[in-house]
Amino acid sequence: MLTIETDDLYKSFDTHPVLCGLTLHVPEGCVYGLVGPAGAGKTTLFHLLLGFLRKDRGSLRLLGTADIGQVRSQIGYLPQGQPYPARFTVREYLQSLGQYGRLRGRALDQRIAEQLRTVGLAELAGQMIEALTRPQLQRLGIAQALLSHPALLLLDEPVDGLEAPGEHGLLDLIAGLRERGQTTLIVTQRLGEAEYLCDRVGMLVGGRLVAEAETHSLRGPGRNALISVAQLPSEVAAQLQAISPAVQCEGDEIALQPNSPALQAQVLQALIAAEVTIIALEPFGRPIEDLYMRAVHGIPQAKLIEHVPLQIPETAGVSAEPEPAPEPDGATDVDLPAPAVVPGRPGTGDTLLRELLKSEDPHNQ
Amino acid sequence: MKLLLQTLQFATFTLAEYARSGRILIEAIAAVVCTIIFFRPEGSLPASPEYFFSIAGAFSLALCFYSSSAILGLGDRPQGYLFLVHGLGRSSYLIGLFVAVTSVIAAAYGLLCLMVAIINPIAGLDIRGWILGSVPLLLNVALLAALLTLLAPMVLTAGWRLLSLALVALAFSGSLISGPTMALLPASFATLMSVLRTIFSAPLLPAFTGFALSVSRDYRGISATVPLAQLLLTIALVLLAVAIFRRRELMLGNR
Repeated sequence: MLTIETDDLYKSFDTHPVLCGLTLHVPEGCVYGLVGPAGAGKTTLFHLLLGFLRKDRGSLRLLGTADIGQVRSQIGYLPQGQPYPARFTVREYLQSLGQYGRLRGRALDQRIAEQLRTVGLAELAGQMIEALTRPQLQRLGIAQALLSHPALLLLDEPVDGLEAPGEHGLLDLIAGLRERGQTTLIVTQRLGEAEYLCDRVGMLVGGRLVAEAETHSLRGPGRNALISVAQLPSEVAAQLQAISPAVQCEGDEIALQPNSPALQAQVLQALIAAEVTIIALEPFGRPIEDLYMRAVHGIPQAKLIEHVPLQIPETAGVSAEPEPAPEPDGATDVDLPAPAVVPGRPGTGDTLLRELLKSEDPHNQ
Repeated sequence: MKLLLQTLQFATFTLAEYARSGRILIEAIAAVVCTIIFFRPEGSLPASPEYFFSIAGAFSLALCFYSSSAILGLGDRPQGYLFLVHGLGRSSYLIGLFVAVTSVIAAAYGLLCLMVAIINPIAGLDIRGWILGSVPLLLNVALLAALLTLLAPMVLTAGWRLLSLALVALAFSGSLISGPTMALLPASFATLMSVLRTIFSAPLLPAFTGFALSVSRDYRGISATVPLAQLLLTIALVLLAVAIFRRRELMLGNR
């Protein structure tokens, strides 16, 4: 069952289009990350999902119904910007929100205590909100979002504006919520956050979903590798570069771009045979960054991006006829994870993405 | 019943937030200042009941503009979304804000009355007279608060707000564009103005007569219906505001 189902969704303010034919399907239990630049329509989508805005056209169904008012009590929402009243204690504030739900009195107090334990604020229940730190405020936001045990959780920039320690703690907390099995839609501009938290990530650009991928296919080391050596004699460098155009030597570093197990083994054997001391072998160029750069800016950050398994919505407004992607200079076939398949939504290849970005994305004009 | 309960819960929360933020001190200080200026024992004017209700009526209405702006502003913030997501209905949300506004003004009026009663009791004003004068006065406050709620940015869009204010200005224009000026205008235009004024000033009648009733406390004859007219007009304005707000696209604090 799909928890969020939007098809060809349009929304504009006055004459300014914000969502332009958004098709987004989020299955039950999925943690979905929606990534995109500012102004891409992410927050507008949340307001539509919450029923605060009305769509211009297209279809929007939540938890199996088009009547959002009917299911709003099953939605938990963490807004961006921590808008909480300063002169209330944590407990008072959660009580004031929770009193509109089904729980009353002791049951509500127990639920509040349970959620505060979940987010690690149990000891601060009597604390005034104005005394909380930013990470604690964000935890309070998550506690209120979880208060009604929602079937759908909407998180708008959950770690926005947090320093590293608070951010990591909060990411771990959100990651821990996966065990509850709730469907979660996370809007973020941080790729690492989406990669870490989500099962699936979609790139929202110019009000449309221009790319979508399973995050497991984007995780793991980058598809390029960098070998650092103590000293690289010029004759060895020439020997390595003769192996493949994908091998590039500069100073005491050798880039394998793109990398492959066979190529890596060949280069390492050559280095060992030449008695060159190998200091490090590191991956670089994360697939999700490549995907984002291409979706948002329309430029490949690394040559191998042509092989990233993409899911392009068929309603994106371009021909569904797949075309063979042109082989970039120096690119060779490498071992990559199999393309992620979204049930019922077959991918149509990344050539469509290029066409789409060229023809539709205002950021590229 | 659920609407009433939720409305009271949200009004209580709003009042608590308003009080804890310290902003309610403005109303309290205003009441103290008003008492000192107009009702100090050594004042030049005798504190008659008519004088008291004239000053208190003007004070309450003036304060209503400030308090409405401050409290409706509390509602027009992104945290409002959280209440709506948690099950608070839009009707309860808006009516709760309206109730909070009228409660704050009523409390400030009560403080004013208390201080006057302590430092300079009004000669000839007993409890009955005070109630008879206070009812239309407070209903006028509620009426103005309802109008300001309707005109709040989260209810009416800028265009409609401007049009509403233009109609109010037209209704009040009788004192600015009077007989001699009207005589200079083309006959058809003057007629049109008169008709429009008559139509649009009709809703203001309960407010003006309410003020007069508060000062006179004379409920004989048709005057007895004035509080009812005030109440009905207030309810009509609140219901209109709620009907619009329920249909409005919400971008709280983001206009």
